Amino acid sequence: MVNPVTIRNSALALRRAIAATVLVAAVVPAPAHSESDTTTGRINAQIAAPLGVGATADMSFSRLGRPASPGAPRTTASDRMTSSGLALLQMDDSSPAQIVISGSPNQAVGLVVGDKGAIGLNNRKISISGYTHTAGPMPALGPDGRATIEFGATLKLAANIRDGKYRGTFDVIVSNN
Amino acid sequence: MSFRSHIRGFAIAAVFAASAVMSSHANAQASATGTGTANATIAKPITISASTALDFGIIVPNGTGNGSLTVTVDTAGSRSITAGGVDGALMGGTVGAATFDITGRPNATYAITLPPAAVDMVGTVNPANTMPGSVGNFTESTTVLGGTLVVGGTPGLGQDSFTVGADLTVPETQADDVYVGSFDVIVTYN
Repeated sequence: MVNPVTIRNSALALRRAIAATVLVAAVVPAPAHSESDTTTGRINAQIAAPLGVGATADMSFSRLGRPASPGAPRTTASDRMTSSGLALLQMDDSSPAQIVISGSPNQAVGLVVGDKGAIGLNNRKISISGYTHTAGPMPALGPDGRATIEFGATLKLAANIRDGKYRGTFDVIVSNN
Repeated sequence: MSFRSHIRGFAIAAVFAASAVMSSHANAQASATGTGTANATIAKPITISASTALDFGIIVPNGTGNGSLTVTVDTAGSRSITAGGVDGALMGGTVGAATFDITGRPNATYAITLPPAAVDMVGTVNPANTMPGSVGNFTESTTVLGGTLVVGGTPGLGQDSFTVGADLTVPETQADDVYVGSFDVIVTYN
């Protein structure tokens, strides 16, 4: 005759064995893909044509009458010519400077004006400053890889400025952005 | 044999084993209980994800000749050129090393596998513009092709990151375009 205690213990052993089996099944070594992983990194590069820049028109303030008091005529890229209300000012054919930039289509570029501070005649100077341009805050070349940009500036005339033809230059530095 | 078959096999074996135990106990009219020890390690899978691209920025070849220039972005994201191109051929743009993040079992060590061969670049404006096998000599910031996953912001989760740099070889007459490419990085538990 089988002892009831033995039967209970045997049943318990069976349950444990089955539970152990299930446990073993659950901890069978994980599939190999958990031991390694792969990802894809991205690479970016832009090949651009060399930038070219050339001046195609000078900035001209034309003929200015000597002011009775100091004043500030200016020629700008957008307004072409304005004045500060000086009575003797004449700017009948003033014009902004114009440069042409060439490079890669749609290339974003940076513009920096190298302001030399004055135009001159011998040792006489007229202060120039406040350069502006038409390229906007984020200059870029067009689909043809070119951009034409106009530059203006402001002269500051002293009341006792001497007659004469004053000349000067300014640099435009173009870089890829 | 399938995983399910394995389970079935274990279960059947367990039943037979248990039956044998029962029979034995029935014959012996006695009982005994033993305690076995089962050990198992539950491993968090190792994962890797790319967080930033390898950017070589804007490069300006000189447009003539049969030569080429080589641009290197190191694992710190610094860019240099070995030869060729126009004066100042590296013209800005976004430059940086690729960054990869890894997660897995805390304190586990892992190995990195980088591409063994150079990979291609293709133009996005004109896909006919290509630079076959142009990006190679991949390097990574651990310098030993591996590291250790340390517990960081997430309790119980090890994490690490590394960067990858490479060389880009550009023919001097390469067409203007915005080029893209890709490369695979593998991480493996040691």
